[in-house]
Amino acid sequence: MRYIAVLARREVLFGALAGLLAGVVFALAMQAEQMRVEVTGLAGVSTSGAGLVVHLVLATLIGAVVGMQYRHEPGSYAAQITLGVTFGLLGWILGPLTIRPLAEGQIPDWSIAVASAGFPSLMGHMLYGALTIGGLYWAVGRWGGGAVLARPSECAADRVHRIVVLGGGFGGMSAAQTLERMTRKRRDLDVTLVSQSNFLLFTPMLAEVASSALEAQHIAAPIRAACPFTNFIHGDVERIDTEQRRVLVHGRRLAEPQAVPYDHLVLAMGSVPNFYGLPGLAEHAITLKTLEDAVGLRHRVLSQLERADHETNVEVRQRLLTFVVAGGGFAGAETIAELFDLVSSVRRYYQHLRPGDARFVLVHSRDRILPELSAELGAYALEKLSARGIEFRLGRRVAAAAEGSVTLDDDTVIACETFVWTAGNQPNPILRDLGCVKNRAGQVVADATLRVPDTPGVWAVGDAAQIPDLTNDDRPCPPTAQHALRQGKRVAQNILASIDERPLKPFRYRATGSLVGLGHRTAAAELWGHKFSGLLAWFMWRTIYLSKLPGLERKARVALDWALDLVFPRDIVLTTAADGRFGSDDPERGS
Amino acid sequence: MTRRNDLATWLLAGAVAGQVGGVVYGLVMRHLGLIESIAALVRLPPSAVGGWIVHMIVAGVIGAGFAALIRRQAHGAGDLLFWGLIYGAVWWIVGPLTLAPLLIRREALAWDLTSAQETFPMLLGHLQYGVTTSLALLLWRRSAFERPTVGCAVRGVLTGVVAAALTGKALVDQGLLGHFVGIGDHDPSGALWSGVLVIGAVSGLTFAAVVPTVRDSAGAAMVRGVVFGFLAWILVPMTIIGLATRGMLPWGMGFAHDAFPGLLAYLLFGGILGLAYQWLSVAWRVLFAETTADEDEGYGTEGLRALGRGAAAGIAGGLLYTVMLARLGSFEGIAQLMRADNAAVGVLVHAVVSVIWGAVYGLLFRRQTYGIGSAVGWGVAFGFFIWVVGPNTLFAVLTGQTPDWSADSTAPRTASLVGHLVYGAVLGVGFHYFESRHNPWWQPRRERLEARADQRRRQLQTSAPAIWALVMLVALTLPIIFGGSDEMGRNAMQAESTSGEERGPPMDDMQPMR
Repeated sequence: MRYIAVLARREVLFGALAGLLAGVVFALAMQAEQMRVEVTGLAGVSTSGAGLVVHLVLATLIGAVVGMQYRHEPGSYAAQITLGVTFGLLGWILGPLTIRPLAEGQIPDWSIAVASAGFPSLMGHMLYGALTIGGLYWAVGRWGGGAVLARPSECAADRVHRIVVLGGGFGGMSAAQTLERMTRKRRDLDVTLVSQSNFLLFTPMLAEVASSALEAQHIAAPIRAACPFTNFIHGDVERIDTEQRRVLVHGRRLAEPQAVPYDHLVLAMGSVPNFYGLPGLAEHAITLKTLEDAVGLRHRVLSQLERADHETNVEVRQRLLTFVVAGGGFAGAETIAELFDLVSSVRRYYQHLRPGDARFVLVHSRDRILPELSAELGAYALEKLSARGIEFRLGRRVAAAAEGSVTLDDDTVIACETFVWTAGNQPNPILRDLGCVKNRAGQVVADATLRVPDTPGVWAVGDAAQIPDLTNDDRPCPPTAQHALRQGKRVAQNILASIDERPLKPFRYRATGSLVGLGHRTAAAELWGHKFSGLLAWFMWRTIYLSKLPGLERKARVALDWALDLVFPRDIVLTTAADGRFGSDDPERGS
Repeated sequence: MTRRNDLATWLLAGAVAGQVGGVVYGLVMRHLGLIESIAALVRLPPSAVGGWIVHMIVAGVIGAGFAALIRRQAHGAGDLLFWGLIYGAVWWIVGPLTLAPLLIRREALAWDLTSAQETFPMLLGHLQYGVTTSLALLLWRRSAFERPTVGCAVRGVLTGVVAAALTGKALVDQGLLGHFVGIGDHDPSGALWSGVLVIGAVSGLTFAAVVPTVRDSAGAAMVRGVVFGFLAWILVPMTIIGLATRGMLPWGMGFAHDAFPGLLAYLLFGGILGLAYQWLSVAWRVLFAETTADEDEGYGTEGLRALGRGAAAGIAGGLLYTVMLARLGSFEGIAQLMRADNAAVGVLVHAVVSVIWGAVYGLLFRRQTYGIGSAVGWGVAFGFFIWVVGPNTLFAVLTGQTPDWSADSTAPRTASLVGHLVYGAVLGVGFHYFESRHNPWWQPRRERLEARADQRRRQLQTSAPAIWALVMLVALTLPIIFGGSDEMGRNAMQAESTSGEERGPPMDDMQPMR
């Protein structure tokens, strides 16, 4: 950096000198034209000597500024001189035609009369511009200096800092994007992003994919398009070696895991579902964390409707048409509401299905749903959903799941073929082997600057990390997308700060609020302490999340999906013949 | 080929080419009765022989200088031609306005407006010299430039005819169709229209030959077209047809002053030609070429981004101009666009127009600028063209009047011209700033992208800088030369000095700016 500063100073010096010389020639010419009155006016000094000094000082300063902006390109003398003529003409507009009247306390009027009077000065400005840039070109070509347009192959930095980001969710992607933006002009950074999926999943819209309102791909933004200058590895992390500072990555379709060395490592791997070891859950519960989950859930629900339509056994039929969701948080409430919407909007296609045949049950361990929102909005949501016919089992937990049934902790058995689990998350299991401080839930404990203490070069953001919330008495930050996005940005800034040996800044963010969609043109929202519900909140939900969806193209596609959803029925096409990864639940086929 | 590129070869070739240009220019000088006086450059008594000898020597030296200057530039047909034009224009300033008074008349420079007006024929002569010299060099370097295909020729003729028809329509409304052909005021007739269309077709064909494939954006093609239009104005109505119909070169100030509507018409014609040619070429490629790997993300992504950035830069560009319009009280005039005469409506209309032009700039000049120089260059060129299109043409059309392109009516629009140039400069720099914030394509971060970035950076080697300077020069000097006078300037300065801090009352002929 210091070296560049010296170079910059050299070309500024050349520019100033060239400007001064050109200014002298300009002044001589104007003297010949007896036009120096043009110049003296600027300082409001009438004596010719002072006017000349002002003129030369200005000429030198402008030359220095030109030198600062100058970029050298060998062999471009004709182009540079011509550019000087263009800038000289522009300078004539700015100087004698605009700034001079302003300096004299008048407002410029750019009239033909003033332009006529300034014609000799126009010629002079052209000459000045050509001489200044031409002289600058010559001096830089002769004695060096000047920022030459650089090619990446020509800019081997002394030391390249390798930054590896693990996870392509909100936190990881935001970190990579910020690094890209901030390092536009430096070549000493090499950023690699490792992710299991090659897209950023916009999780708030996942439930709508499950309910067939949105196309699956439309809520996924490709990482390669969003971070075009980041090395991207599509693969799973096998092991993180903090001793040797490298990550073992198993790339998709690669036989051998590859070692990715790092200087700075960002842990942004998010969370995976947690079944707390409850019997049968891992085998029989559907989760809603990935795009495959959402597509699978939609597929499952539509398959059950297909089968129930011609099922004669009442008991089996009831089981097929019962949908249980565990967890009354945002994910659970949105899922049950969207499933209800899906079933009621496509029911007309299934001739033997009557209203009221399908049963929706939400199991929640606390006594009110949506604990993230205020009690008032929680009650509103409960009332809205109950009114539609959704059953609630509050204060209950799921104890076990089996083929065709879910057992609650009060030994109630609900016969159902579709059981969605949203009641628990845990940090990515890869972090278990990591030798750093973790909390009871297994999250990596980071400080407010997002650095993981005692593990040099390791940083953590998002759901996988416990980060003190400075705006909330240092309690851990909630695991939300808005926090992860800002943490990603901050971690990128702090990594650069630590590379450049600048002080780190703590992460500080006060959440603006939260929104939850409740299906069928209703939602509940709490923004800046204000509560919204119903159609208005639903509209806010759609506008706000649409604006947060990364990429213009995806925004356009989702907006189109929504618009079409207003006038067309939902899609019931089942794209795979077998029931995907949930195919084993077909008792008749006995597979 | 290596031998052909060393300096000595180039100097020699330039000297010979300069002689070719010198013969043409010498004939012009003889025609204007100036050839004898050239002998005075070396203090010889005026004589035709002495004049010719001195003239040819000077022409050779200047031609060698041209070759030395452009040796390191790209040598496409369009590149050499436009470099020749700016070189000729610069020599008009260096020669008749600077060296000639110093050497011949042994007096100070002649940089005042009156001298510029008196030597106007020499400007045209120097431009002709530049063009002829570059054509001669082109002949020498004929292996270096691209041969136009039949497709190019078809596109050129097609767009030329369309552009001529559109421009002709604007001229017919003013009763000035004859100016496109160069025969002054004339009732529009079938013969006249066919003349206009033939000129359009030939010019289009020439454009296609000069710039067969435009490698930069549509906006750059448009600006190249504007400069080409300027060249066509000099060559067709001012020279060929002038000689054919009058038997003389109508280069005197009086003639040129009257022919000014033709200049505006040709600038407009050129801009439309360049833009249409480029669009047609792109459509041609999209429809008929094999698909190629494209580095762009498509118009949906890139185009919309450019639109937004352009609109934002347009607001910034319009701000400075707003101050000027307020000072001149022009907002009532602008409000006429909405059939209103309220200043508030005028401010709104001005803002909307700034944003629209900004968005258009964004679309036309996407990924075209890579530094302050090119940003200002393209921005200013765009600003000039929309001055021709907007205040001079569209404003009248949209308010139900006929456009008025005469020199005397255009002169009071100088403030508007300067305003548009400033608007363009700020727009260009602003757009460049927004573009560089996102993903500066001229700083490739992948070696794969280097080739493309190189190609774009090569615009410094093409005639782009010459074109920027030419547009600026045409924009600033010609309206002043045709519309202004030193008398006016002196009056303005006297008014300034007598009234002290207060500027004198606005000139009588100041109309509200459009």
